[in-house]
Amino acid sequence: MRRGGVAALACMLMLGLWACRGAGPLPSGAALGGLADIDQPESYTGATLYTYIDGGADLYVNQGFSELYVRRYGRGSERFIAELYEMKDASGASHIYQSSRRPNAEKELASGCIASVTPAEILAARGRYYLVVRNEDPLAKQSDGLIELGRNVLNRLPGACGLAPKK
Amino acid sequence: MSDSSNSRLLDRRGFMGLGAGALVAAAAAFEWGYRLRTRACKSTPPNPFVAAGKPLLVAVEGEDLHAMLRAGIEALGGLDPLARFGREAIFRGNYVTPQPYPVTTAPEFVLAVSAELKRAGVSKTSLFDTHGTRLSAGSPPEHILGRLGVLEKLTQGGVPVLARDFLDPDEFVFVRSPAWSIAKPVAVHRILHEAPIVVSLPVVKRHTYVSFTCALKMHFGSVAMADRMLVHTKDSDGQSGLMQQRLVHFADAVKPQLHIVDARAILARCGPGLGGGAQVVPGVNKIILSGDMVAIDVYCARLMAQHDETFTPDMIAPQLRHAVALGLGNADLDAVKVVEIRV
Repeated sequence: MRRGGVAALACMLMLGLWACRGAGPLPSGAALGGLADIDQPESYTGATLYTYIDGGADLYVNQGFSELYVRRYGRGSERFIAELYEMKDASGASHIYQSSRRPNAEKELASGCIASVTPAEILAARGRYYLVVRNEDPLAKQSDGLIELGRNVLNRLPGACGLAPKK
Repeated sequence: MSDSSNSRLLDRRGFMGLGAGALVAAAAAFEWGYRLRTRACKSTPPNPFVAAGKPLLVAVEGEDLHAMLRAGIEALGGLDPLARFGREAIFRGNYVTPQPYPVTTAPEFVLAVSAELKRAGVSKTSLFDTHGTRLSAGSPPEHILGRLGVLEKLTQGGVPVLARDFLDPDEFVFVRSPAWSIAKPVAVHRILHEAPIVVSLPVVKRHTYVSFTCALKMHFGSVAMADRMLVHTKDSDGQSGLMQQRLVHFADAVKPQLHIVDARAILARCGPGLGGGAQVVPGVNKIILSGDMVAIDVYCARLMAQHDETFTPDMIAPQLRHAVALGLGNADLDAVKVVEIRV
């Protein structure tokens, strides 16, 4: 019985590390212009990122991952998810952006900030943050709500844009 | 190694080590509780979907899911052979993360296949999944299915959902095959081991560590968390070949009799979830049906290569060779009767 109890305790300790609650720099839905907050915000550390991204977390960890904040928003029937990866420095955020952006899909989303904008997903880097905003339906058509959310969050982040428009 | 990677407090290996420590303890509890009562892998009848001695593989292109499914099943010769195996069928979908189709199996796809099985005489269909534990308040077994709406839609549609705890030793049975390259048993879920009919409903995706996931790899989700974590720990970058072998053993432990792949859209470039450069490719508009899981993966790997210039089918050659060696199917599509139709 003792071994089983130890195993259960070890598992509970490990699993206790899973998603914590914390929005970090991600604003509430109300602060973003009338969006509804869906569920509680979540945050993940380097120890728990693998529970959020099963099979793809190394990309972030290898570039100096610090913390991930996740928040879900709703407007009407649309559901959006914002993932904000806080890196140890701006070069890590920029590197992830450059390896993940879509070719021929970049445009100036916020003042002075280039982002990769596809119908269901927006990617951007600013300061030491790498931002992903996506429609929860990966097959969704482009929506003004997604663009607006991406722009509003990006505008609120501190730091210089990872990629600025060419003068 | 970069400074940033040197300075991180707990990297993948560290996390896996931490997790593996706990899960090795869990595995020990498994063994203690069961006194290592290991069984043979489940025995299944030969592939019932054959034509002139060759396994059948049907690929249907179209835009109306129900019409595609109906045409595919007809080309397969109907589902009556499955109904002769039993009255109840278990579905296995891919629910690795709470992101909708094509990252995970679409609930409308499950319902459509269920309707066809019931037309063929199967009286009950259920969806099985094990991606969570009651030891964590934030990740109970049904949390992914609930967030995706799968739980609600299937329950309303008359398909019960069996969401099981991946750490509960009472839920799993140890199985082993003398043909495996690794002698250690695998803890496969009891429901899958005992089900008279298992129908697999994969999606087509890239995978960071084994390049590709479809009919074979998805059975990481059919075994106990301890088995999954131990493989990830010992082959943390997917380079040693252990993962390519073990994923075949996990598939061998389940051996679904029918695979119906929903490739109306696929996840290219990266996976198994969104992010990191993963790209959803809509408009592929295909479903693929076969009783041969190796042929399914060969066909779907070619499909992926058509839509993802970073992928070539030879990336999964090791796992296919191992699956063929274990008798799980045919990697040579010349030995398979491939029927391609459009509706």
